[in-house]
Amino acid sequence: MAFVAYRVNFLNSIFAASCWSCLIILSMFLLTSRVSRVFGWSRGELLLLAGMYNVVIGLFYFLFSKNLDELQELVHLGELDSLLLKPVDSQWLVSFSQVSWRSLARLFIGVLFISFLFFSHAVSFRWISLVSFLPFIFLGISIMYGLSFGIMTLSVWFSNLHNLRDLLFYINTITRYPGEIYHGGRELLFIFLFPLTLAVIVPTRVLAGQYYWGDLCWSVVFGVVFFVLSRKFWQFALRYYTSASG
Amino acid sequence: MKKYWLIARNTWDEIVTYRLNFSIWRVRQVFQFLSVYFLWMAVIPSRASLGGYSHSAILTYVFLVTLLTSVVFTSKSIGVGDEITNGNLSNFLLRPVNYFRYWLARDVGDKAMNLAFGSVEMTILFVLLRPSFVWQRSLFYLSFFVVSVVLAIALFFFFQFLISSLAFWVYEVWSVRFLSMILLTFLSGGLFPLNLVGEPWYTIFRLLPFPYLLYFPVKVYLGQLPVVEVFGGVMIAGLWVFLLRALVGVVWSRGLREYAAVGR
Repeated sequence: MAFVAYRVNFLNSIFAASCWSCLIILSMFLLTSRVSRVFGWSRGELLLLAGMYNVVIGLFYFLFSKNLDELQELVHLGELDSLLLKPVDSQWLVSFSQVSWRSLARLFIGVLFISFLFFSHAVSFRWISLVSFLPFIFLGISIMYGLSFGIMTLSVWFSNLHNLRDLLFYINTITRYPGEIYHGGRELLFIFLFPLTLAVIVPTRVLAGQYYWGDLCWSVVFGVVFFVLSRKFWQFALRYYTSASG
Repeated sequence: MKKYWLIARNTWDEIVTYRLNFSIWRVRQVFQFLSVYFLWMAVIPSRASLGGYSHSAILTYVFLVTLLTSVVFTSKSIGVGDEITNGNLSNFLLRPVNYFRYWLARDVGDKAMNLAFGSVEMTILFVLLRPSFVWQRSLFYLSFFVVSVVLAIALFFFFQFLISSLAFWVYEVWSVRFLSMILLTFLSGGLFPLNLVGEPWYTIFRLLPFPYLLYFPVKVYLGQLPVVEVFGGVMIAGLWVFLLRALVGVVWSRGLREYAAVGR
């Protein structure tokens, strides 16, 4: 709550986050105003994807963005020692010690926009979808968390890499668009990007009442695998952590 | 002039020293490019068009915007805010160095590095992706493309300096800068060509300085603007450079009266 002490900054950051969310939705509006379908996605589905992107990213940033930013500082200044000495799992402490309140603005705008789509009948849905899509949001966040945490763990060896956070932001933008756009003779690239594309697409499709069992299974597999890999990598990296005096 | 050349050279060396940091910055640019490139490839398949843009025109737009972003949207003058906040500005006020020219020299070094790497990346991506590309052959459009890029660089430099100058009054400038970058990304045509927003917004946006950062130079290169509009756009961009320069001068002199070197 110390962040709220600087009220103007806090309000400005909420406003900035809201503007970014609105711009993403506006971009998709403009794109789909001229083209009715893109790789099999209808206009309503693409707009739903834009709204879901804000929900998933908003939730992900709310839970992890400040912690991932701080991880680099903790390693660089040797302050990770105090966390490692606590009788709590270090990855848990590092990942969940703070939240980013301004990111709730993105989550709120995403939910609001999705509600608007449903009530204006731009997209049809079934009530069962409202329940069934929730686990896939958390699996999507697990995929993004695993990748992001793994990249930030590199700070143990490269504590001066200030661009890692910005790199994560742009990697996450991959999830904004349908994964099918990365097809077309670029299979190697698609294979590399495929897990990321599932993070937002799968909950979007489930919410729209479309169940592609292949994607659902992959979402579960990657959600678990990425989390486990991030954990293994973190434990491996801690062996090389030498603190500021090392 | 020699001292400013040395400053530019030092900035180049500084970037080369932190190679991994710079490499990650470039990887991030590539990621940004790829997501936009594949999106437009999907939206406008070959032999299709959208809003006056053919398949090749839109891909050329994406390539050029990415390259120009490396040149125009990189600026070391972001550091001005930190120097005001932590009091290091005092060092420069005492030295026989023009502060604006110091940061301009740093920008030259930074942009030279980004242009060099951006060109290599775009060349590699061009070879790998083999897009349909518009090759401008008109000397008129090519020369005014260069002129508009120079104006864009000047525009962004003064704009960033203006934002950084807020540090005289506001302790944390990053939130204002973050918001300004979001608006810049949209209003400069970095996400999509601005004429796709339709009227009357397109006309309103063209009166602002932001389209002249990316959108206008690329439109000039594509040869999609009549000669009159090219001249008109260059004049508007030049006027904005003049206005921003004057505004920076006023804000800077007012700010120096407030400056108290609090961090020292």
